[in-house]
Amino acid sequence: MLRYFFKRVGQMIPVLLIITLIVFLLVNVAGDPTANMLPLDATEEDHEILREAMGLNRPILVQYVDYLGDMLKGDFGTSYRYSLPALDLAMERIPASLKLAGTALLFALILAIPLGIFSAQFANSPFDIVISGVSVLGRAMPNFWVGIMLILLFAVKLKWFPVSGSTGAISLVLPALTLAIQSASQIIPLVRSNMLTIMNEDYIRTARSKGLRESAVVCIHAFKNALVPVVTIVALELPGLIGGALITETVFAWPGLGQFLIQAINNKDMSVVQVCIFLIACITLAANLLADLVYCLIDPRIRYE
Amino acid sequence: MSSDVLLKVKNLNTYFKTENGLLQAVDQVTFQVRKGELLGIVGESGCGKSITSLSIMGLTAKNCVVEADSIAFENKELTTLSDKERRDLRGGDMAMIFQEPLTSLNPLFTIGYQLEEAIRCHNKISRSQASELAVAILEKVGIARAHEILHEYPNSLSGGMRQRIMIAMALVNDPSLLIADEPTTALDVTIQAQILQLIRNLMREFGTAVMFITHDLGVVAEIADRVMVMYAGQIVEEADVYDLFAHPYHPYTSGLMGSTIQVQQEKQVLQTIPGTVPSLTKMPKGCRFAPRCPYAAEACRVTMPELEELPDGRRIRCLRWKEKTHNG
Amino acid sequence: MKKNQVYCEKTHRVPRWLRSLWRSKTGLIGLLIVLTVTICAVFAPYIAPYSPSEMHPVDMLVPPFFSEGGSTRYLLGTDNLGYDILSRIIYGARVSLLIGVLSVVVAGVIGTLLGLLAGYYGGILDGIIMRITDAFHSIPRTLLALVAVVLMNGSLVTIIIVIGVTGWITYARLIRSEVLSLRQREFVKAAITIGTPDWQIITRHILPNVFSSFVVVSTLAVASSIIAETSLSFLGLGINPPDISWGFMLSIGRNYLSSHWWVATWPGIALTVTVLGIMFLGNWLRDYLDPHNQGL
Repeated sequence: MLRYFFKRVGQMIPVLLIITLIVFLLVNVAGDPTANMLPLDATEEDHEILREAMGLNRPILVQYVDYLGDMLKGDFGTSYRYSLPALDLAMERIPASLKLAGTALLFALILAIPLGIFSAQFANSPFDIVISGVSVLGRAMPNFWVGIMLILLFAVKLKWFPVSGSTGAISLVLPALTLAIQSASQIIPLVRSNMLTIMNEDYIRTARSKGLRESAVVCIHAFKNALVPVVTIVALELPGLIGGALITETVFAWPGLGQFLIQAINNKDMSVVQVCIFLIACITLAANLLADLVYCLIDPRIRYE
Repeated sequence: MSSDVLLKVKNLNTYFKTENGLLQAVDQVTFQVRKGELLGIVGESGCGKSITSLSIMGLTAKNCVVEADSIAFENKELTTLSDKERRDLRGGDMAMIFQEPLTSLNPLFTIGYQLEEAIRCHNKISRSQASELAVAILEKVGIARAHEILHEYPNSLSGGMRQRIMIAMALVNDPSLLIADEPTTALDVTIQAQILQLIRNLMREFGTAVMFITHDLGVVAEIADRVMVMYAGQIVEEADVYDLFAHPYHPYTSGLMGSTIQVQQEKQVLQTIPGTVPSLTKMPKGCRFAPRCPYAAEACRVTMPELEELPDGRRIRCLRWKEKTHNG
Repeated sequence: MKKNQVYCEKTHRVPRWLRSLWRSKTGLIGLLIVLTVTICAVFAPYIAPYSPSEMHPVDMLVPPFFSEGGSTRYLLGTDNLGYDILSRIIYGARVSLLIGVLSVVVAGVIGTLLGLLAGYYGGILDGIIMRITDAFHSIPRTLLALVAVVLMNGSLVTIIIVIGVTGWITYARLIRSEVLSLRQREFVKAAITIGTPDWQIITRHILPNVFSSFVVVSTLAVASSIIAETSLSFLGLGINPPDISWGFMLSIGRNYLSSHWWVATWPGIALTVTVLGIMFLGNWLRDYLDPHNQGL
């Protein structure tokens, strides 16, 4: 299994390189990094001088190699707004984002897995129709609107939760719930259809023919097999969760990486933008790797490949 | 019910629910299985033999409707039992094995787990005791290194091994009836012979009765005591195995026998039964085999023949069997 | 068995797609919603009660007509600058549909091309393209679109291109897997054997078979493009005044949640209903075009 782990890590490296290329091209080619660095009355000449000084007129490839070199040293540039290394500033914000995404994933799984299983067991019943309807609705509603509506209901009208900020665990609930609803809406139909497929498999018939109670058949035999695709689903959901976290953090003023990034974009603080994108991509890749490993643990067939 | 009859099925009807109504897959099936005997059930794919056994076990899918006048097993009337009582029988006194041993075992659980689960479902014993019983039954079905096999997963074993394990799982609680639904169809011929031998030996040792479902006449000839031939959801003939092979009365039965290749004979052309099995949605009126029958008369296409019981114990569903046996 | 449950087949006179649509209630609802939104978008000047840029400084933050203080002059109320919300929602449909559809065209072209190349030629080309899709997939779409739009100073065209470019991977993956399985089919192998040039095989044998999946994915892609654009506008990085977007309306509404709930609620409902309609339609299309269902 260790060999599998290293193989997957090896596959990730070209991907990481391409990501750095995308980020680099985006920032240095599409826009002008010096755009916000000088006072408003600076002339085009002044910008040109700055560009020359920053080495922005060298061939692209040279700049890129330099950029990679700096990155490997851990130098992602300095935030022009805070005058501190961009990497350090970004890393400070990661725990908050992870807390949010992690809690959201937990909520989502707690909601989605039982609901998906019950929907499959009682397929085409009123319960199933309602749950399917709700998950379709959840997929159609943009997550920031869900957030806004939750704020309206639970923070403004009922006053159970704070409207925004990060004062302790209670302020985590609404933003996590917002993200969870987005994810659960994707996961529920997949769990449901997996369960339906699995319940038609031969080994389920064998389990029944042994005289097992239906609850044992579902909760032991079917469930473990249903988990395998769920892990894949969760891994696929992760970029969406992290992307959704960006906007959710803004709606709820949650001090995570996402909110930091949006502020940096508005301030045109390019070093920060670069490092944030890179970190978010790394987190996504790491999460995918983790999901792969969990997959490996659950399904013995994978280990033989 | 006489003392040596184990299972007595009377007028079993099974239907599939579809958008356009109910489709009948099993039509008025009535038969018996005696203690310790092996009843072979033969027929082409789609003749209803599998559904019959699933209906008896209570394992049909949700879209099936099962009706019967009576299904009596060891003096219990199955049609009136509660779900729990039927579950107690399943895997206990009545067991079943299936055609595809790979997909019939859960790939994510060890052999040991699945075997012990079958044992502990019907016996209140500890894990270690169940484990010992599991090893014992595995050895009984001819698996060496039984202790190691307990920790293996189904995917790392061969087809023959997996089918032995399925047999072990079915017999571990000493059932009086084993239903085997095409257990050797998916196996190589050499393995097939081993499995058949195994079933025969275990039958003798445990005194289990077996309902052996297959489309292969050769297999039936080798191990069955009595044979029941099914076509299009109905029983068309039933007899002692020697009688049936010596003198098949029903045109379908003789057609089946004529289609098999025997090495000693020198036939120029491979005989087939012309036509195909009728689809469930388009059943012919009258005798269902009439469109393909070389002996069919006008009466055959109009009247559905009843299943007649003859004095020598044979049953036959054919209007013209008397003429056929005098001519053929 | 009850007598009236005996099996019997039916014959039909109504065309198959109409029958299927009628049977699938959600498909029907989806079609109706999409038609309504399209009509709103196309005929906005004739349907909306007010011009969207018509300010009524006197009537700022008027509640919907059914609330206390509301009036039937402004059915859904007004926002903080006195704009009629109903009119702006109707006009907002234009932007959403325009961006939704056009960006899907961009994504479709890029994605299909790359997917075709990867699936048909395989080898190193496939490997490279797959790594690139993995890379794009690791960066959340919203994020990529955000950064791109900011750096390129979002105009309508830029936004369309950006949303299109960030959405190509769904197409690429789908087309690639379809092409891979089609390549193994007998008729393609036969065509290759008799020496048919590649481009002919692609246009004559492969593309037509990929078509139904393409249509289904496109429908759902329009929905996600609309959501992407709304997210951008919500963050102030997409459509800005004087153009009207539901996303922008939502961002204004967020600031007035505590006392003026309607400013944020109506655009959100419009958006949800539109996306729902598109999704229903897409799901119906997928079931209808699925070759396994042809027999019904």
